[in-house]
This record gives sequence, C-alpha cells and structure tokens, in this order.
Amino acid sequence: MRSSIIVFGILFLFGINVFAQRTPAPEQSQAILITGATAHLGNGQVIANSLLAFEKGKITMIGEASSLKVDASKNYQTIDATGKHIYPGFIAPGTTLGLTEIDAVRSTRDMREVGLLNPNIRSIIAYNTDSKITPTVRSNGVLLAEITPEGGRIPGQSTVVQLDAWNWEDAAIATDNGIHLNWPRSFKRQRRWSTPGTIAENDQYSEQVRVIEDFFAEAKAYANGTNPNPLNLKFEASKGLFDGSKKLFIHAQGVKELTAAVLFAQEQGITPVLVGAQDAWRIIPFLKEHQAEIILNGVHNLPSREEEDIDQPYKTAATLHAAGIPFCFYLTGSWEQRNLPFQAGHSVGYGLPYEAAVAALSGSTAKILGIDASTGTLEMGKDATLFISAGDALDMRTCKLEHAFINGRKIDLGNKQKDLDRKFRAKYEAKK
Amino acid sequence: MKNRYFFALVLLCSSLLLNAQETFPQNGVYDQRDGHYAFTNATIYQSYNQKIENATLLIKNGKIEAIGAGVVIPKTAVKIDAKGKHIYPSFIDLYASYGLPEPEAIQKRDDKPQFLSNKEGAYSWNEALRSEFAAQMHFSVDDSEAEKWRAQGFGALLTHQANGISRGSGSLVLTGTDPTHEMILNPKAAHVLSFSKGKSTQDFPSSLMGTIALLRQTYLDGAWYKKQGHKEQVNLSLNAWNDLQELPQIFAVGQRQEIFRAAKLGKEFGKKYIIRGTGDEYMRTEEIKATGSSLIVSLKFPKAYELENPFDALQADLADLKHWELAPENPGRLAKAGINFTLSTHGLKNKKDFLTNLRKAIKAGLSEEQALKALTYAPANLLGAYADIGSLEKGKLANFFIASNNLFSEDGKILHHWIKGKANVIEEWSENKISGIYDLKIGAQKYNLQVREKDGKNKIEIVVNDSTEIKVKHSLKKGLIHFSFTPENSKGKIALAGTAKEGQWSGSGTLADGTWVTWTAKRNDKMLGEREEPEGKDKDKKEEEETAAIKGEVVYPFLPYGWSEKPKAATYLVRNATVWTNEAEGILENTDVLFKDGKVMQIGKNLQAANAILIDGTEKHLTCGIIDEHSHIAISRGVNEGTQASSAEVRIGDVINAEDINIYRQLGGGVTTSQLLHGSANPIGGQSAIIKLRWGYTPEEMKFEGADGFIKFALGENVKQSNWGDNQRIRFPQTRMGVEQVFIDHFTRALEYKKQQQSGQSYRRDLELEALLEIIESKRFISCHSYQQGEINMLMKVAEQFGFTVNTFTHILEGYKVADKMKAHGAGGSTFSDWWAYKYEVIDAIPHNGAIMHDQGVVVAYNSDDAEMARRLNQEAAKAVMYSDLSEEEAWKFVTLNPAKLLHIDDRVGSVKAGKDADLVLWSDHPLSVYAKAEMTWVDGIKFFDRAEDKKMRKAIQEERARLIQKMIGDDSPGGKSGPPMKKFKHLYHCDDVHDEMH
Repeated sequence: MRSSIIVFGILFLFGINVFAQRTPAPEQSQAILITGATAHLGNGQVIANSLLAFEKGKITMIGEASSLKVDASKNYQTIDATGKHIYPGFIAPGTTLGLTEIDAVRSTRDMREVGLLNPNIRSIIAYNTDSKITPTVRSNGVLLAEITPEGGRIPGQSTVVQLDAWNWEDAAIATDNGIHLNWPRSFKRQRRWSTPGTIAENDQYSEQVRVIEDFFAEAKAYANGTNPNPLNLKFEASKGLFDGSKKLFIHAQGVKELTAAVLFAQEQGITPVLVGAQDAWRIIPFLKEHQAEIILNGVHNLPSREEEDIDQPYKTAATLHAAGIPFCFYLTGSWEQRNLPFQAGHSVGYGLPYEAAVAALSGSTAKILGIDASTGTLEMGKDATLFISAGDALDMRTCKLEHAFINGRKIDLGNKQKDLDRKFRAKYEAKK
Repeated sequence: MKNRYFFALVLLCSSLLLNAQETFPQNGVYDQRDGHYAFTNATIYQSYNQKIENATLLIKNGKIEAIGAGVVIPKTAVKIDAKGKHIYPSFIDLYASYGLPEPEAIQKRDDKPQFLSNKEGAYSWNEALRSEFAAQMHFSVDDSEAEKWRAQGFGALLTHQANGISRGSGSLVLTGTDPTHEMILNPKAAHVLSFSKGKSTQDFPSSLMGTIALLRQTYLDGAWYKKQGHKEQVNLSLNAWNDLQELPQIFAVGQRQEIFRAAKLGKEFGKKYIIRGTGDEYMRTEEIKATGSSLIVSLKFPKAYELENPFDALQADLADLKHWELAPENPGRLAKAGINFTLSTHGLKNKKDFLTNLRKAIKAGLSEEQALKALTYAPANLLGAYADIGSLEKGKLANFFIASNNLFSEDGKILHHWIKGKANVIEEWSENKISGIYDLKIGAQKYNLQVREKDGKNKIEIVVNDSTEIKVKHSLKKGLIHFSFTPENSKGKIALAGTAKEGQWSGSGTLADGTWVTWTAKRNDKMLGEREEPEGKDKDKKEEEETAAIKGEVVYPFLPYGWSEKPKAATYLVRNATVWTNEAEGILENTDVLFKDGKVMQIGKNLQAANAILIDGTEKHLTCGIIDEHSHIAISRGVNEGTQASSAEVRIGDVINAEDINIYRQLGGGVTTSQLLHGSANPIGGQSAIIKLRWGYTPEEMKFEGADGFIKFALGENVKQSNWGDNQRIRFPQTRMGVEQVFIDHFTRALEYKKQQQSGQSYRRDLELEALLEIIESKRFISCHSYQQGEINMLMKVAEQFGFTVNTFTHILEGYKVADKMKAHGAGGSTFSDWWAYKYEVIDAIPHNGAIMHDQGVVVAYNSDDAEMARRLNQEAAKAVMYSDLSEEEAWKFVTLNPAKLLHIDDRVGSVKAGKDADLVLWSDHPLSVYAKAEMTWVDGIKFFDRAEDKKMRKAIQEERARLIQKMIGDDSPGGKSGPPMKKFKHLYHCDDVHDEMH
C-alpha cells in the first residue's frame, strides 16, 4: 500500500503517465481557426500568411489572411501558427503498417498469405489499430495509410485508413480500394546453395505473364455474367477492376516490366498505376503517352546499377514531375513510414519543387489512390486532416509537429517512444 | 620417300614401345626399340627465345640426342623430312586436373551445422584441409583426355584434385599414352592451395576471412606439429602439410584482389606462391607486380552477350562489358609489366579454345616469344623441371610438337605431338597442297573442278559457269581420295574414288544411275582466281577493324567511376565558407581553410597561399568527413564467420574489397572513414578494419594507418540464432545465459594461454586466444552489437571481471536505459538514429536514445550498418535535433568527432583543425539539412569526389557503354554469343548475413 502510494507519487511528481494508452480522439466539437501559418495545400499551391478553419471535421475556410474575414460568431478555438507550417495529413501508400508489429516475429506478421493469386484477400481485417508503431508514424505527419498485403503474384486488396481509430471498421476510409499485382521479373537472381549467384534472364517470365493474362481474361469474362455458376471468390473480388470501382496497382521496377505492365493494363481498359517503378525515368515519353500514374518507391534505395548516376534515386521524382507524370512517394515497410516525408525532402534537394514534393505526399497520393474527393488537400469542404509543424516538415532538421488533426479530431501526438524517453529521462533527473 | 614416311608413322602410332616396363613380366617376345628419329630441315624453337632454321632434331630413347643446324644423322635413325614445319617444345600447364577422379563430397548426415570434419581417420579437424591427398596415388593415364591436351600443344601438366583449401600434392605428368608409370615425371611436384573449401560440407570456414584465418593457424599448427612429432597425437593432415612445405606452392584464387591476399599470407609465412588467377590480372598489374608473385594466367575470355534488345542490355554491367573487350589484352599487359607468368587452360569450358584464345592474346599485344615463354620455360622453371622439359636441348625429354607452320599464325596447326619420344598424330601430315584447277574427266564428260585451301582445309567445287558452282564433298587421306557431287540438272550423285598425287588424280566410281566409270583429274596451269567477295565487304571489314581497335581504358578500380589515373593531393584553399570545426571555436562563418600535403594547415580569414587551388565556399559549409562507426561495405566474400561461437582470429582486414561501388557512392555522401565490422552471427566475432575511403586504391592502401585494433562482439537474437530457422538450434549458445558463459569461458582460456606463453615451455600458438588476450590487455577494443539493457550490463560486468573496458556498444538501442552504467564503465555508444520494430529485442528502441546517452556523458555516434543509409548520415544526425532538440553542433559530432573518438582516431580526424588530416567535405547547404549535398569530398587532401567531375564521368560512362554495346552486337566471333546478359549478384552485407560470396 505504502509503496504503491510512493509509485503514484513519483508518477504524479514528474507528470508522466507511463502507461499512456493513445486513446483515439473524440469528434471535433468546436470550430478551429489556425492563423498566420504558411499553408501548403497539397495541390502544388502555397499560401504564405493563411487562415484555415474547420468545423465538424471539414475545412470551412482556407486562404490568404488578408483576403478573408473571420466570422466571430463561430466561437473558434484559435491556434496562432505564425511562422509555422500547415500541411495536409501525409498519406503512406503501400505500407504494411498494422499488418506487422515485429518483422522478425512470425506471429506478428500478417501481410503475406499463401498462394499465387489472392485477389480476394483483404488487408483491412488484419489491420491492427492498436499497433504501437502507428503513433510513431503519426507524430511525423503521416495521418493516412494504404494498408497493403504482400507476396505472390496477386497479394490481395489494400484499404486506405486513417491512423487514429478504435478498430479497423472506423479506421477504413476507402475499403478494398485496389488490387495489387506483382509483375514478374524478366531477370532475376539465380542462386545455388548459399552463394549469391548471378542475375540472369528469368526463363519462366513469359509463362508467368501468361498466368496473369489468363486470370484477367477469365475474370473479365466472369464479370460480364450474372448468376455465376460456380461462384468464384477470386473472380468476384476482381469484378471491381473492370467497372472502375477498384484500382489496379501493378508493382514493377525495370523498364521491361514497367512497359509490359502498362500495355497489359491498357489492354484491360484499366488506368495503369505503377508501384515501385525505379526505372520509370528511363521511359518518360512512353509513360506519358499511356497516362500512367506512378507510386514511386526507393528515393532511399541504392541506384539499381553500378554505372547509374549515384543520385539517380534522389532525382527520379524531379524527372517525373518535370514531365508532368502524376506520381506520389511510397516506402515499403511499417515503422519506416515515419521517414516518408524526408524522402520527399531529399528529392527537393535534387530538383523537385517544394510544393510538388508536398503534393506527392498528399494531394497526388489521394488522387492516385482514389480518395481525393474527400481528402488529400487543404481545400474547402475536404476533411480536416492536417498538421502544424513549427518548421519545414520535409527536413528532419526543422520538422517539429505541434498539432495534428484527422477529420477535425485533434489527435494525440504522443507515442510509446516518447513515453520511454520521458520515463528514462526522469530516472536520470531523479538521480541528480 | 613420302610413302615410306607415312608407313613409318603408321607403325609409330600403332605399336611403338620404347621401353618395356622394367618390372613387368612380358607375355610374348620382347620388342624393344630405341625410337631413334631424325627430324630434318625444320624450323625448330629450341627454347622460347631461340629459333633455328633448317635444323635437325635427333631423338633416341625418349630423349633428345642432338639438335641444331649441323647435326650428323646416324644411319640407324629414321629420317623424317620436316621441311616447312615448325617444331616447338611441348607446352606445360601448371593448373590441370587430368587423370584424377572427380572430387566428391563426404556424405553429410543432416542439415544441421557440421562443426567438425566428416572424414574418418586421424586427419585434420577441418574437411577442407586435405594435405594428405597425393595426386600420384590416384593418377592414371586418360587417353581420350590426353588427346585433347596434346592437340592444344600441352605435353606436361601439373595435375591435382581441385578440392579444398589445402589440396595436397600435385604430380607433374606427361600427356602421352599408357603406361601410367612412365607418364609421371614428378609424383610430388607441388603443393596446391586455394581460398575455396571445395566439397567440404563442414560449416567452418563460411567466409573468405575464415579461410585465411584457417590457413594462418594451419601454418602455425604445422610448425607446432613438427616440433612435437607424434608424441601427443597423430595428425596425418598436418604431417602431410609439413611434407609439402618445401615444394613449389601453387595458390588458386578468385578475382584479382585475392592475389594480394594470397601474397600477403605468403609473405607472413615465408612462401612465394605461384598464384592462379582468373584472367583479370590486367586490372591491377602494377600492384600485382609489386607482390613479386608469379602467376598462372587463364586464357578464358568472356563471350559477347546478346544485347540487341536495349531493355535486356540494361542488365549488363559496364565492368563486364569492358572486361569482354580487354580480357585478351591480359597476357600482353602482364608481360609488359614484367610479371612472370605461365598460361593455362584453366577456366576454358572447351580446351579447343586454348589455341584460338592464345592467338587472340597475341593479336592483343602478347609477343610470340612471351607466349612461348609462358608455356614452356616459365612453368618448367617454376616447378624446377627445366632440366627435363620446357625447351629442346640435349638430354631433355623428347617432348615436342610439329606444326604445319608458325603455330601462332592463323593457319598454324599442330600435326604431330611427340611425348617422351613417342608420336601422336593430331592431324595427318599429308601434303594437302592440292589446290588448283583440275580437268576432271568422267568417261566422256568433262568438268572444271577447283580446289581451294582455306583455314587449312580444302574446299572443292565444280564450276559450271561464272554464277554456278556445285559443292563437292570429299575426303583425302594418305593419298586416297573419294568425292561426290550432284551434277547440274541431275538428281543423283556421282561418287568417285581413287588416288591423288602431285596434281594427278585417277580412279573409278559410279554415276547417278549406277554405271561404273573410270575417271581422271589433272591439274592444269590456269591460276586459281580469288573467289569474288561481294562488293563493299572489304570496306566494311576495314571499318570493323578500326572499330575493334578502339578500346576502353583500364580504370581503378575496374568499375564505373573508376579512375584512369589515381587522384593526387594538392594544395587547396577553400574561401569564405561556414566552417564546422568541431573544436572550441565552434562554427565559423566566412572563414577560409587551407590544406596541403594531406593536412589542414590553417583556418582563418583572408588566407593566402601560393599555388593553391581556390575554391569558393560562399554560402557553403565546410566540415570534416563523416565517420561511419559501423559499416559492412567493401568486404569480400562474407561478413560473418559465424560458424563457431568465437571467431576472434578472423580479420576483416584480410578481405577488404577496394572495388565496391559503394565506396564511391558514400564519398558522394561525405563519408571519409568507415569501420568495417564483422557481422553479429556469433558472440565473439572477428577483427575489424578501419579504412579511409580512398577510392581506386588497393585494399592495403585503404587501411587507416596506425589505427588501434578493434573486434566485433555481439549479443542477443543474432548470436542466439533466434531467427535462423529450425536447423540452427544446436550451436552453443542458444540463450542469453549461454552468451555470458561464452565470454567468461573464452577470456578464462585466454588467461590460461597467457600462462603457457609465460611458462617458457613450447606451446601451440593460437590466433584466437591471442586476439582475446589482446582484449584483456587493452590492446584490442570491442565494438559490441547490442540491444537489450540486461545483456549490455552483463558484458560490462564480464569486462570488469577481466579488467578491461568495453570500448563501444554498437546499435545499443536500449543504451538510454543504462546510460549511467555505461558512463560509469566508460563505454561509448554507436547507435541508429531511429531504427526499431524489426525484431523482438528492439521493441523498446527509441529515436531519443542517442541524445539521452549523450546527456549522460556517453560518447555517442550514429552509424549506418547499411550501404544505402551511409550516404546520408548527415540527415540521420539531424534526427537527434528533431527528436531530442540536441544542439546542431553536438548532433553533427554524432557522425564525425564522436565516432572518431570511439575509434581512437580523433587525433587525426573528426574535426577541422590545423595539423589534422585534410578529410573534408564541402556542402551545398547546412550539413544537417535534408537539402544539403556533398559537393566535394577530400581524403588526406586528395579530392576523391567532386560533383562536377562526377557529372563528366557519367557522360563518359554512358558513351563507353553505348560503344561497347554496339561492338558486342557487331561481334560475330565463331562460337557465337553466350546469351542474354548476366551479372554477378553483389551482396550488400548487414550484420546477420551469414554466407560467403563465392566468385
């Protein structure tokens, strides 16, 4: 009894709740007005001295402070963000966040199902809203994520979620938004035993492509019918691809694969969305001609060939932007998503205009994922999913999140790591 | 005369027995002959540099009796007129596996780790040490193989079984026919070693550095065994090892850098190895020359890839394309460099390619004399066999071959190959000079028959008119000819046979309808015209030749972005920059820095210097170079020797890979010094190497001179093999409890060892224990892979028990929990900025770790452990500012001064200070900003990276690549192309990569 009082006393003394639970924030109850910030709209535009208001989760006002009038009757809670920056909540596409907790521990991995063709697999039901990783990602400005399965030729369907939820149902904002397809590699590593082996032509490439073509041909024919007999869950799940309700995300890296993937998508009458696309810069006119969209991975990958420019991955984004190809940033993995904004920042150092970099984390991402009607930019009527940083959020030197909102709900920017930081700093403070 | 000669040959080939087998019983009547032959009027290459025209070679009883222009031919000798022929001493290949059984693996019992050799008997603990293998015990003549060797000119081979690190002894054998007894010239001619464990299924060694350590220990064990005799134990492998030491030592290595590694090993133990490389030696001739090693050089030249599809062509590595072009120049370049070498068929899939490739090498710069030297004198001399083979001199073996012409010219062909005075026919020594125009008469019918010789072969045609020719199939052997053709407007064949001599043929045959006819063909006086080539082909050919003559440069290293000339130090004055000194002066604005001869000379305002290269630093930042405490780049063939709980004897310094493109890429990220660490697969790993990123230099030149020795230790999941699958459950330790005992046990044994050393008694030197003792005696310093606080604390306690300090905990993701204990112990921490959640032991990792440790007085560094991330460690440092509000200056030290301190090199690097090394980086922006780019990077005042130069190199790379692809597409060498491009997979090592990268 006595000792528990002491423990409680110590906790109280340092104002720490080491057992913080990161409770999802309640609905927005009061209108909020943010003044004076530089607002990066996520659509390529920036407003230097802005006013931004939101109410009931939606943006109700955004613009140059001098050109707007504040309606005093709204009883705004005002945040003075002079000298600070507002960004739309960043979106992490293609992530396994919430599908894996500890990569090396099998029981915590839920991103890879057995089987080659799994279009019926749905990531959303395995999405763990209580992952300890999610708050650490949120606190760097990533507020939305496309939860994506991996493995096989068709790993399954992704869902876009917001990162402050009680369960997967209220997390989901675009359920089963797309089906992912891993395009086979034309060259691959061939190895024997433990040797690293060589990278040589994949002699099964054509066969592997044919498996995809056959599946799509039959799925499409199936989709034309009514009362299917027998009912095929894989084809059922794929129907959305042909009526436009689901996106097809084709993961491919090399020139040959990207080209084949684009032509394939086109044959299916589907907008080609290429994921990864490290070699995209080599086939710009082709991609433009076929109106491909790119979810670009690997700003922080090594160049794919020894002779390639040493900074090729840093500058690919700038090349895509200059060519007018719609693209957004993406990073594989889970906890790594907190570094997604810095990939954009790094690309700015190599020629990508700053606001385009912001867009490739927000507005462009939303468009490519098909959620742009309601979110992704700081525009009237859109979700108030945004954050305020004291400094430039794309530069780790200056990024400092102060407030973040998802649908107007002011979310907790704490996380397990900050708790541990406080806990052990307190240990040392106490010793002094 | 001619007939007689043919007759003689027939006899020779079928039944010649020079000597009956001395000890063997004879079934039948003895037929002893003395094989007395005189070859006259020949061009004889008496030795590689001595050619005699119109000379006679006299042989008897398998040996040379006389040679020269004025040799008197005894009546008892069979005389063979070799007019127009060239006679060469037989070639010698020092690297062959001829007449020996294929190596086989000893059956492995299961998929679990195999700690010891599975070979039964009193042999080495390591299955790859096979010194006891003696080629002589297993050799027997293989007639069909021997024929292939003879056809390429080889009369003697050093044959051994290519299996293991010590492969035992090789025999010097001849390529003649049975009996085997007479074909072994020296049963124990050489000891053959390699850096590859061959068929051994034992886990150790799993890496190149483990292999080198094993060899070093074996040299010591051999010496120990020699002393102790069989007193304590019998070890047949060590016994054999000792027996082999006085022989020539042949060492088979992989790519060029392994030549340095072998030479260094040899130097340590007083051995001059004859090193067998892989044909890429030209990429490092100067440095190879400096090792003083003799080489066995492969004539394997890569085939062209199919690159017509530009998408596929992207898969080809520039270095491979360049090698394709330059490989034939290898022997010539080695000769020019003055390196002693022999040539070998090693690596050739088909032995037939040997002479073809030899001619290519000659075309590419190797002189005929050098070629002959490398195939006769040099190998004979290296084996101490020059008294018997390698030239044609009185008393030497009658080992020679007769060529139709100069062998090195396009139409040179080996006709007969005599081994130990016994003839072997490669090709009929027929007078194939039948070319000309013949009037062929078959009954009443006349034809115009033309014979042309091309590439030593006759082509026969019936010429009907200017535009119509009919092919004639034929065969000509020993004066007998038969041929057939289908006349114009006929469906059936005319088939004829008869004799062919001196332009006069005749015989009989059948017409298409079966009519038996007689025929004659008589050569007329008309000149054989050149077959008309399609127009323009000559011009094309000329252009082709011109294109072929353009060749790329050898660059150092042989990779994209390699230098054609090593960059040199110069005097530089950087003006008006923001200088991050990392010293008491802090960050100085508008400041100049002068550096010269590799050192920083002056820091101040308005500096002047004569002859300095001026660099405008306005709005730029000048810092010292980034130091990566934990790196695994630039390592060859394996980062872990994790097959045992301790591998303290292995050294990364033995396997530095100076040819890793990541060195250059990291210079482009401002890195100048890296500690290359052993992996974390076992509690006591291997010794580290600290290098400066001197791109283009050799492995030894990259080492940080005079740096203290470090060693990798590891704790946690990797050393417990937690994530390695179900087969890896038997190596001790499997728990953290066991890890502690590994340390205590090994340090205890090291102290026991010290007692032995001090006892004055002879003892077995143990490299592992010596390294451990160095740790206890604070002569070697630990960098320990660590995550959880419990085991971190444990290691500090173990260290304290043995009286030393743990120098650095690397990774140290829970360092923030025990920062006070670390401070008290005196350990530093080198951590990640923000990695976590990738395994269970890192669930409590936090990005505030570095700053908390720092605030508690621990020396903190941020490291990469990753080839990619090392290129942007400046951004990683900035995360300490972001997560913990650390001052920018202190954050910057996390990747510069602090790692320098942890590596004990802060007296040389880690700050910008007069007198310190000029390892400097000029940044385009604030160095902690995500927008900053390293524009120039110097190491020792040598500019190794310059973004402007880099831009030029990119262009050059693109152009060279395009040129080579064009050239490859145009390549129409016989034998075709090898198929779509293919390249070596190059591993990017992390701590827990457990495999060797075989070449």
